[in-house]
Parts: sequence; C-alpha cells; structure tokens
Amino acid sequence: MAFPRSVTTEIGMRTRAQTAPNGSADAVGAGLPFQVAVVGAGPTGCYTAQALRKGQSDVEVTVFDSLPTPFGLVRYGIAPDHQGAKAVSRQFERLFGQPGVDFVGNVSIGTDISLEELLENFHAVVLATGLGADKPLAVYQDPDARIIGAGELIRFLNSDPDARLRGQVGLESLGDEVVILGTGNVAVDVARLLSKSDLDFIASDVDDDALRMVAPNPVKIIHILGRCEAHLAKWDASMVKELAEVAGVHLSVDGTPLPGEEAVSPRTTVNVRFRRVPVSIRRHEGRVRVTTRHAADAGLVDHLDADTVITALGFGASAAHRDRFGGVEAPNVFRVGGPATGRLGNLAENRKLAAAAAKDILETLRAQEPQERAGPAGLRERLPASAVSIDGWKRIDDAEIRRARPDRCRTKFTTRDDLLAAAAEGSDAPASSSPATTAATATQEN
Amino acid sequence: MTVVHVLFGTESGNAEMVADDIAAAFGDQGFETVIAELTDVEVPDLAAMEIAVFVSSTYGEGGLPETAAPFYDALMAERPDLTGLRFAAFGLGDSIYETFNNAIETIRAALLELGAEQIGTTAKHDAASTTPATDLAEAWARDLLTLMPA
Repeated sequence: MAFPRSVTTEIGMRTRAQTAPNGSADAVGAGLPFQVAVVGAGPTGCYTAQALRKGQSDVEVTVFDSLPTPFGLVRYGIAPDHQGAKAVSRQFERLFGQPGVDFVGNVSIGTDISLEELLENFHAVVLATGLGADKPLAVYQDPDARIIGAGELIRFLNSDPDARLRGQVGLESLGDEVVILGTGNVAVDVARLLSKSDLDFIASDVDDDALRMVAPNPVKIIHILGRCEAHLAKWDASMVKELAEVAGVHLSVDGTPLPGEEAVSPRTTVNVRFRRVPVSIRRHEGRVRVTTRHAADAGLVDHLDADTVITALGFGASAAHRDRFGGVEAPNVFRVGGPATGRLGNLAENRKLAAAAAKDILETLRAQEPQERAGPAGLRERLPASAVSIDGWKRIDDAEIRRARPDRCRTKFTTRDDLLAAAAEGSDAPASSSPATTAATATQEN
Repeated sequence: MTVVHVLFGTESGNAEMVADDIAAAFGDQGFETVIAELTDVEVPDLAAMEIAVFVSSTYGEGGLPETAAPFYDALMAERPDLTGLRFAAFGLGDSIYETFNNAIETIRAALLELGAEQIGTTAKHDAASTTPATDLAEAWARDLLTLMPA
C-alpha cells in the first residue's frame, strides 16, 4: 500500500502527540466533530469507541465489522457457559444506543470498502481486528492427524457462521480421548466444554447441534499438556477450580488429584502434565500419537495416543488481516489490542489498552490542523445493501432470544444468510440502513 | 444539599456502568453527584466526604480490582477516622467462582472498621444471573434513596 511511512502507528511509540496543546471542542473548525472509524466491533474496538466517547462530545465513532453482528470474541470467543463474562456486551449495547456512535456490520474493510476510502472520510482509523487465528504448533504434524485449533472449536460451539468446522464434511465426534496442548485459560475452556454434561449447559447459549456433533457425550479422558513448569501456567487458578468442580470431572495435575470432591467413578478424567514439550504428532493405528520430550531431559520421550489433538497455544492475526493491514503504516491509522500487542489478553487488559489508545488518538487529532471529514455520511453511497445497522443487530438479538431452546438463554443463527434475514425481518428497509439514518434514529435513545 | 460521591473500582467496565446509573438515579432526585474511579480518590478526601456509594467488582481469586487495590492499601495504611462518613455498597461478581463478591465485602469491612456507617443493604450482583447489573442498581438505588436525608 502506498502510504507514507513517516509515522509509527504502534501504541506508545508516538512522540508527536506528546507536544499536543490542549485541544478545544472546535479543533476541527466550525464545531464539526472528529470522525473516527474503528475496524472491528470486538471488545477492543468497542472499548476504544467507548473511551473515545467518554466525556468527549466532539468525537463521533463508526465501528465496522465484517460479521453481521457486533461484539466479536464476546459473542464468539468467550465460552458459551460463561454468560457472566459475556454480559460485558451490555456496556457496548449502551454505547451503540448513543447518538454519534454507529455500528456498520457485514461490511469488510479491504474488500467492500477500502482503507483509503476510510481515510478519506474519517480523521482517524483504528485497526482493532483482533487475533483471529489459532497459533499453529511448530513441530512435525502428519497432515492426516486430526488436529483442531481451540479457537476454531470454541467458535463452532459459539455458532460463529464462519467457523471452519461447520463446513467440514463428515465431521465426526472428537472421540473418547482428547489431548489439549497448552495451559492457558483457553485450554481450560476447551476441557470444561468437552467434559460438561447437558445439564451443565443450562442457561448457556451453546450451539447444541455443534456440541453434539463434536462430543455426543462428554469426552472420557482429557490430557492437558504444557511445556512449562506448573507454577508458570498462564491459566487462572479460579478457572482450573471451576473445571475441577464440574460434577463428574476428576482432575489431577502431574498425577496429584486436585483437592475437592473426588468422584468415585468419574465421567471425565482430566490429566494435566507439565514440562512436556511436543516433538511430533503422527497417525498411529487409526488414532493420533502425540510424542513429547521432557522439558528438562530431552532423552525422556513419551507417547500419548488419543482420538483428537486440540491446540490451545495462543492466537495470531488471521492471514486475511495480515495481508490487508499487516504492512499499513500511515498517519492517523492506529492499532489497538491484539494487532498492537501480539497477544489476545483478557477483557480488563484490552479495556486498558483501548483507553490508552483513545487518549493517544485524541491527542494526535487535537494537535493536527483541522481537516474536514464527512464521516459515515461520506460512505453512504458506497455501503453494500446488506450492511447491518445497530437496529438490524437488535432484530437479530431479539430473534435469537425468542427462539432460544428450553434451558438456553439464546439460540444463535449459524449462517450469515439467517443472520441477515433476521436483521431485515420486520424492518421497512432492507437489512441495511445507512449510517446517517442510524445516527438520526439513535437520538431517540432506548 | 449533600454531595453524593459514587466511587468505583472496575476491571471490565461493568462497575463503571453501574456507578454511572447510581449517580444518575441520585441526580434525578436532585442530589449533586460526583463519580470517581477509586484510583483517583485520596484517602484524606474520603474522610471529608459525608455520603459515598462504593461500587466494586471482584477480580481473580477474590481480590480487589487493580484500580481499587492501591486505594484500599492506602486506606488501611493511613487508617483515617471515618466516623463522619455514611456509605452504601454495591458489588459485582460471578457466582461461578467461589470468591463471588469478595471485593465489596473487603471494602465494606474496612470502612466499618474505620468508623463509617453503612446505609441500606449491600447489593451483590451475580453476573451468572439473568438480571442485568444496571437493573439491580436501579432498584437498589431507589431503595437507598428512601433512606437518604432529604
């Protein structure tokens, strides 16, 4: 991309803004607001929009997402049985209820609208595109061995319409014995989701069809392998405790049972082993063989046979996002969250990063010569008809709650077509309404 | 009229949203309100307040949110006389974890120990419930307002 490379866009590396004078509300001239585009309506994008707006009446924010729905990983990444954590979306619903904050869903920046077009219409562009891809295991893997990324699996169980597992022909159960590589919270999420019985999913919004497909019954044996020492595991102790407390689960760490209620004949056994460094994953007698060596003694080699291997080794930017945005360095393009730090982080961390980024963005904009930017109105003619407004999202939301199965808080639509149909249902307009229209209706509050 | 200080400690922002709503409920009844994150509250300032509403989530293994911990540490180190302070307490937590709503109890115990007087009941929102925290906050603030001096 032909952008000048004069300004670094990483958070914390900017120097010019530090000399910014205290900006006034009229910095843009004629009292026009600053127009900021946020690419990605996940938690980081929403937190950034929230922080940009907090106490700033002269900033308008338009949040784009390639999915028809907002909230990104809150909807598709946080485990479906962790509704308490998902409730953070209430903050973002309130945000999008404000005048001057728009959601434009089902619009992909880089294909439907170019980054250049965004820069022509907005004073700043924030890339909050997250880390959408499971980090692969960097050792030999038999192409035929069944290896699934934890992120992919959780997306599938969360009804992500783009989950690759959904399209997988002949996807069968993961089997009775599963190896999870990694000892972060995502590994614990996977172990918990695979070991829970139907009763344990009451009030969740798990995709029951997806769950029954990958685990018709709770998985019997789960091995969790970590490279590090036990005390260096990245998971939260409270998460491990929660797993150990699932009825019928027996959990041991390096052979020592976790204190707690010990099931006499556990439904699911979870064995955690530390200091196991993966060497290879091969097909072996119709199953998968994970070969590891001991972290302190390379000569100590161990084989573990299972039906499926799930990698929970962290996340990286998706190939599409790397291609589109990886090399972009332009004035007034900012990265926040995963694309800036290279790590996913939890909600609290990303909220802090978003607040810092928002401060940086505002200081930068207030230090610049006023420029005129049309904001979302400038894109009105360019948006595809299938763009989803915040009202469209509310219709999806209502429909999913209305159609919830018994004992589920919500039953999500699993395809983009169904989501778009629900967004359009009962509205006068097609699924889309231009951002300008949304801004006008948003003043009614809710 | 007495100023009502709404002081919050948050990790994910939910407690801040609740604090906003509580302040709005008091504001609607004609009270002057000041919202502040606990990181921005100095202990001597607290001793000078007459009415404060504390809102806090619980973090990790039952700990205070990162933004509230330094305030709490300073409070316990300086141990001011808080006999002039009347406070209310609203906690947020998730009953998935056994340390559910630990943090607001920690703050509450400290305030009582230092002589402050509690108004009303301690609200404890459970994120695992279907009631939004803001709904509980609204109902709780309504009850609290009936206990306030006119």
